[in-house]
Amino acid sequence: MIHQIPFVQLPLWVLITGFVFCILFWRYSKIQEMIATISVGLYLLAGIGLLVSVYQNGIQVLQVGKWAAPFGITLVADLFSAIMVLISGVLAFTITCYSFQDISAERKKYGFYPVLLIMMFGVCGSFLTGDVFNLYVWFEVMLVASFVLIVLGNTKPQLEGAVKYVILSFISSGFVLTGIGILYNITGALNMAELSIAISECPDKKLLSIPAVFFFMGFGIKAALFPLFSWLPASYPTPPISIGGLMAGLLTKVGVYALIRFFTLIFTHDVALTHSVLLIASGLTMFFGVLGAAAQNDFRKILSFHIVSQIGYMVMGLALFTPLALAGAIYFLIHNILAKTNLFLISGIVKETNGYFNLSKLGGVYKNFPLVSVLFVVSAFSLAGIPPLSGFWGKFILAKAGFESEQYFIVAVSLLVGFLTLFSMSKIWLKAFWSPMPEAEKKRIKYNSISLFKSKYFMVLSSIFLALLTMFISFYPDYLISLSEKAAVQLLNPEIYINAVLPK
Amino acid sequence: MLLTILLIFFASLLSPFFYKRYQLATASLLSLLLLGIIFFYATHLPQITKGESFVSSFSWIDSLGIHLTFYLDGLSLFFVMLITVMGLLVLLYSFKYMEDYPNRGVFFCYLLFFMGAMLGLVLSANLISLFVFWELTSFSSFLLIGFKNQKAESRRAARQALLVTAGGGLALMSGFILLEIITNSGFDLLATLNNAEAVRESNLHTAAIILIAIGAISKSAQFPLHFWLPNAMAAPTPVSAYLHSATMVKAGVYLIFRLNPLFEDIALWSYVLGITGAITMSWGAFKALQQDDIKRILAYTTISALGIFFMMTGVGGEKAINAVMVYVLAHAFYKGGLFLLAGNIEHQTGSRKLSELSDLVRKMPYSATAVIFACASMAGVIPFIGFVGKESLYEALYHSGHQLEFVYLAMLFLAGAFFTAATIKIVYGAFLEKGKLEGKAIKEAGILMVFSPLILGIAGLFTGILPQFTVEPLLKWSAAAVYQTEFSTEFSTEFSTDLPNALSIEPSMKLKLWHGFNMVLLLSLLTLLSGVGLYFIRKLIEKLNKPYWLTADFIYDQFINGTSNFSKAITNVIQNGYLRNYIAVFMVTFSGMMIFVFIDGGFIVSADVGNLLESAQIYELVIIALVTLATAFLFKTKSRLIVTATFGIIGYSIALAYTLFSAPDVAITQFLAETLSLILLILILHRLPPYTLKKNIAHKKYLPLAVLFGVIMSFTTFTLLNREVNADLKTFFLENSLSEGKGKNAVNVILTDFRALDTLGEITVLTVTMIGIIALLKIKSKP
Repeated sequence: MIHQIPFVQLPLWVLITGFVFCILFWRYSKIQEMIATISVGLYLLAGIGLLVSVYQNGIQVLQVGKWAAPFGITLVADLFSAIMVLISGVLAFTITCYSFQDISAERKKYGFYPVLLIMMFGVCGSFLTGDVFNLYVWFEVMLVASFVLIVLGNTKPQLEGAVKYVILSFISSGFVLTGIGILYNITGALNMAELSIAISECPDKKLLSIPAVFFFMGFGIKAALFPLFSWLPASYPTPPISIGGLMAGLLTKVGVYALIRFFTLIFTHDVALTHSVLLIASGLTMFFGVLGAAAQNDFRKILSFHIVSQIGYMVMGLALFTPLALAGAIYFLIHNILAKTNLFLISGIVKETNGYFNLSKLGGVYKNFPLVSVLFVVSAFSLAGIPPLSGFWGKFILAKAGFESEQYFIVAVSLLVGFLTLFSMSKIWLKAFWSPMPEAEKKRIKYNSISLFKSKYFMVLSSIFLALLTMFISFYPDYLISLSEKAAVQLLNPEIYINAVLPK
Repeated sequence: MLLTILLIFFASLLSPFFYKRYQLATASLLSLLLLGIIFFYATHLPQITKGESFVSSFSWIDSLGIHLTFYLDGLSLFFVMLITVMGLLVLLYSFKYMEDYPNRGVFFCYLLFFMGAMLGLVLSANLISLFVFWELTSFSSFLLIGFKNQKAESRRAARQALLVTAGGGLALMSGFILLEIITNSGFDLLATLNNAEAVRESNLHTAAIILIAIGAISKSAQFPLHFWLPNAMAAPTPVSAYLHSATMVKAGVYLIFRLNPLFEDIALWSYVLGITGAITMSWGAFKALQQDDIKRILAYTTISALGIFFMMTGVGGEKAINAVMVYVLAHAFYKGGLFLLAGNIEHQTGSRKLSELSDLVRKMPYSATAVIFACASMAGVIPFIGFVGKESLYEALYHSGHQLEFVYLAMLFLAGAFFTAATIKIVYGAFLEKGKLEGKAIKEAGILMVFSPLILGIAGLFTGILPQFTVEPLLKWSAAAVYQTEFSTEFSTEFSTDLPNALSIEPSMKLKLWHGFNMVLLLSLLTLLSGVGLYFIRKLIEKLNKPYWLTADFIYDQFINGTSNFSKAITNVIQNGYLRNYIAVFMVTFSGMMIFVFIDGGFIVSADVGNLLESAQIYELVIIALVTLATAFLFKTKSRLIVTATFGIIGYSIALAYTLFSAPDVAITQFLAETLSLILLILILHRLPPYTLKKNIAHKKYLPLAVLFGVIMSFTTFTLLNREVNADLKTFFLENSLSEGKGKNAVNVILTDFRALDTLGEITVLTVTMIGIIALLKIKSKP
C-alpha cells in the first residue's frame, strides 16, 4: 500500500492545491492562514515520506505525463533532493507558524499566504526536477514569488531592495537560460541524466567549458558567490522577518543545490579546471562575506552577510569533490538552514523588545529575556562553530576533507573565517544581549519575559522548534552525517542517477 | 566516567531553577554530588598507583569514527583530582561569596558546566571529544568572565578571552586532524600515542606541532597570547581561583603532557615549548611585581608558573617531568588559596589594591594565616610543598644536560626571586603594614570562605613535610604517563580486575623534603635572598614600562578596530549600493571567465557572417533593426520610464520573432509576460528615488563593458552556430505530436502535453505577478 503513494509528486501537489484554495478564499485571510498551515504541514509530512521512501527504495522517478525520459519532463528524487525537500518543509512549516504573529494584516490580506505557497512550490520543484529547462521554470516561479513577497509591504526600502533583487536575479536567469540553450546546442538534450551521458561522450571537452561558465554565473548569482553576491545584502534585510528568514534560509541554498547538482552530474568533464574555479570562488566568498559582516552594526545585516560567507563553505565541499567533502557540504547546508533561519527569527523577536535591529540601540536582552538568550546562544555559537554545536561538525568535516585533499590553503581560509564569524557573533552577543539598554530607548520596552511569550508565543515557539532541531543535529550528528555521506556517494556516482532515470 | 560528567552537566542545567528557591538544599546536594564523584575517582587510586589504567567507551558519531572514549591513568586521575577537589572547595567558598549577587543560580550553572567540560577534557581518549570539551571550557569561561556583564570591562575581557582561546582552538583542531592523517588512528588518543614513529617520519609533523602548540599556548596564556588572563580577573573571584589558576589554564599544560610521548624526540617541540615557556615565565614574574591589584599580581604569577610548566616540558626527560608534576600540584594549592583569599579581602574591605590595604593580620587573623602559608609555599620556603617543587625544578634543570640549561636555570632563578618579592609585597603590604585601614571596622570573612583557603594552606604544609607518603604515589604515575613511550591498546573496561594495562615501566619519582646541603639548596636560599633584595627596589621596577603601543592590550584593540575598519573599507567598495556597479561586476566576472575559456579552448570564429545575412528574410531584418534601434535609444534617454518602455519594445519585437517562427503560443506568452512585467516595473519605479545617473560620464564608464559583453556573447553564438545539433528530441516531437499528442503544431503539443509542467510553472508565474500588481496598486505606499 505504502509504496503506491506517489511520493515524488506529492509535495508539489499539496502546495499547488493549497494555493488554489487560498485563491478561492481570497477575501478571507484567516481561512487562507489555515489552508496554508495545513498545506505546509502536509508538505512537511510529504517530505518525510519522500525521504523515507528514497532511503528505502533508492532513487524515485516520475515521468510526467507518462512521456518517457528524455522526451518528457522527469521528476527525480535522489537522497540529496529528498533531504532538501524535507528541510524546506521544516522551514516552511516553522516560518508559517512564525508569520501568524509577525506579518501585518495588510500583507495577509493581499496574498501573503498563497504567494508563500507558490514560492515553496518553486523551491520544491527545483529540488525535484530532472530537466534543465524545467529547472529554469521553477527558478522563475521562485523568483517572482519571492519578489512579490518582498514588495507586498510597499515601503520605499523594500521596493528599492526588491528592484535590485529582481534585476540581478533576471540577469542570473538569463545566464541560466542561455546556458541551457548552449547545452542543447552541444548535446541535443535537456534531461539531466541524458545530458550527463551526452557530456561524457562529447568529443570536444573544451567546448563544454562555455556552458559551464554560464551555469556558474547563473547559479553563482542565485547562490550569492563572490563577487556575485551583491543582491543579497541589498535585499534580504528589507522585508519582514518571516519573509527575510525564509529567503535567507532557503533561496540561496537552491542556488547551491543547483551548483552541486550540475557540477556532480553534468559538468565533470574537466574537474581539475571547473572545481578549482569553484574552490577559489568558495574561498573568496567565505572571506569577503565575513568581512562584510564584521563591518555591519545592524542585526539583520550582519546575518545577511554571514549567509554569503557560509555559502562559501558549502561550495568548498563541492569543490573539494571527495565523498567526505560533499557529505560535509550537505551537512553544512542543513545546519546552516536551521541555524541561520533561526537567527533571523530571533532577530525578529529581539526587535519586539524595543523595536530596533540596530545594535547600538539594543541591549539588556540577556537580563530581561533569558529564554531568547538561550535560543540565540544555540544558533549563533553553532554558526560560529563552537563544538559540539552543529556548525562545528560541518566545519570539522570540511577541514578534514580539505586536509586529506592537501588543500591546506582553503582550510586555513575556512578556519580564519570561522574565527571572524565568532568575532561578529560575539559582537551581537555583547551589544544586544549583555550590554545594558541605552537609557533613551528604555521607554520603548513593551514586554517583559513573560508577556513577550504570551503575546508572541508562535514566534517564540517556532524559534524553539528550530533550536531543538539544531541541538539534535549537534548532539546526535551521526544520523545526518551518515545520511549526507550516502547522499554524497549517490552524487559522486552519476550512473546510479542515470540508471534510475533512463532504464535500459 | 561518562556518568560523572553527565551528572555534573545535569546539575548545571537544573541549578538555575532551584538554587534561588531552595538555596540550602541545592547547595548541600551539589556538595554531596561532588563528594560522591571525588570518592568514585578515589576508589581507583589503589589500582592507578599500581600502574593500571581504565578505558570506557561509548559510541557517538560512528560515521566519523568519533567516540566518547574515556581513559583514566595516573595523569588523568591527577588532573581529575585537581578539578574535583578544587571544585568542591571553590563551590563551598562560592556559596558564601556569591550570596549578594543576583542570578546566583546562573553562576552555579556556568561553574558546574565548566567543571563537567573540564573533567571531560582530561578524561577524553579521543582527540575530537577532547577538543569538544576543550572548546566548552573556553565557552564557559567566556560566560563566567562576563558574569558581571553590566560592566563594559567584563564584557571586553570575556570577548577577548573567547577570541584568543577559541581562535587557538581552531589551530588545535587543525593540528589534531593532521595528527589523524599522519597516524591514521581514527582520532583515538592511545592509538595515536603509539604511533610516535610515524609522526617523526611524517613531513607534516612540523605543522602539527606548531598548530597544537598554538592551541596550548592560547589556552594556557603563554606569551604572546597571555594578555587575556590578567583581564579575565574581571570575573568573580571564585572563577579566577578555579578556572584561571587551578584548572582551565592548565588545560594547555595537560595537553602538552598528554602529547609529549608523541613529540618528545622532535627538536622543534622541545624548543617551541621551552623558549615560549621561558619567556612567559620571566615576563610574567616581572610584570607581577609591578601590579597593585592583588588579583592581577596573582594572574601574572600564574602566567609565569604556566611558563615554568611549558619550559620544563620542553626540557623533557624523566627528571624534568617529575619536577614539573610536583610543581603543578604545589601551584594549585598555593595559587588557588591565594585567589580565594584575595576574594576574602575584597569581600570584607571592598578593595583589592595593595595601596589601599593594611593591618589585615589583626582584623582577619584566619585569612592572614592562610595567606602566609600560601605565600610561603609560593616563595619556596621550607617545609612547604612549594619548596619541594622548586628544589626539584632546580635539580632537574641542573642535571638535565639540555643545551639551554643555564639560560633556563638563570631565568628560573630570576622568576623565583620575583615570586618571592611579590609574596613579600602581598604579605607585608596588605597584612603586616599599619595605617590606612586601622580605624575601620573590618571583620573576618565567613567560615565557608576561610575554610577552603585554610585547607589548601595546610595541605601545602603537610604535603611539603611528607611528600613521599602523601602525593608521590599518584604523582609518579602521573609523570610516568608523560614520559612513557608505549601505551597499551588492549582496553580493560571500567572496574575490570585483570591487569592487561599495567605499565611495564617503573616510575622514577622520589620525593623528599630534605636533600642535604648541596648546590640546589644553595640556589633555593639565594632565590629567597634575591627576592628580598628585589622587594626593596620594587619602586624602580614599577617604573620600567613598555611604551603603550607595545602592550598586548593595545595591539589587541588595534586588531579589533583594524578588523572592523578594514572590513568596512572593503565592504564599502564591493557593496556600494549602486545597482549598475553590481551589474558591471557580473559582466566583468563573466567576461574574464569566458575569455579564459576561449583562450584555453582555442576557439576561433568559424561562422561566416555573410552567409548568415544572405539567408535572412526581410522581416527578420526588420526585427533586428527594431531591437538595435531600441537598444541604441536606451543610451540616449535619462528617464526611467522611457527606459522601461524601450525594454518593452525589445520584448515585443522578440515576441514578434516567435510568431514568425510559427510558435504563436510562445509569442502570446511572451506578450503577456512582457506586459505584466512592464506594469509591475513601472508601478515600482515611480516610487523610487529620482534617477541619479545624470551625466554622460557613466555612459563612458560602462560602455566598454557593455560592448565587451556583447562581443563575447556574439562570439559564443558564432562558435556554436555551425555545430550539428543532435536532433533526437526534435525528431521525436515532430513524429509523435500528431499521433500521440493529437496536434499538428509540434510546438503547441510540446507546450501543452510533452512538457506541460513547464507551462504550469509559467502560468503560476503570471498569476503571482498579477497578485503582486494588485497588491502594489491597492496597498498605500509607505516611506
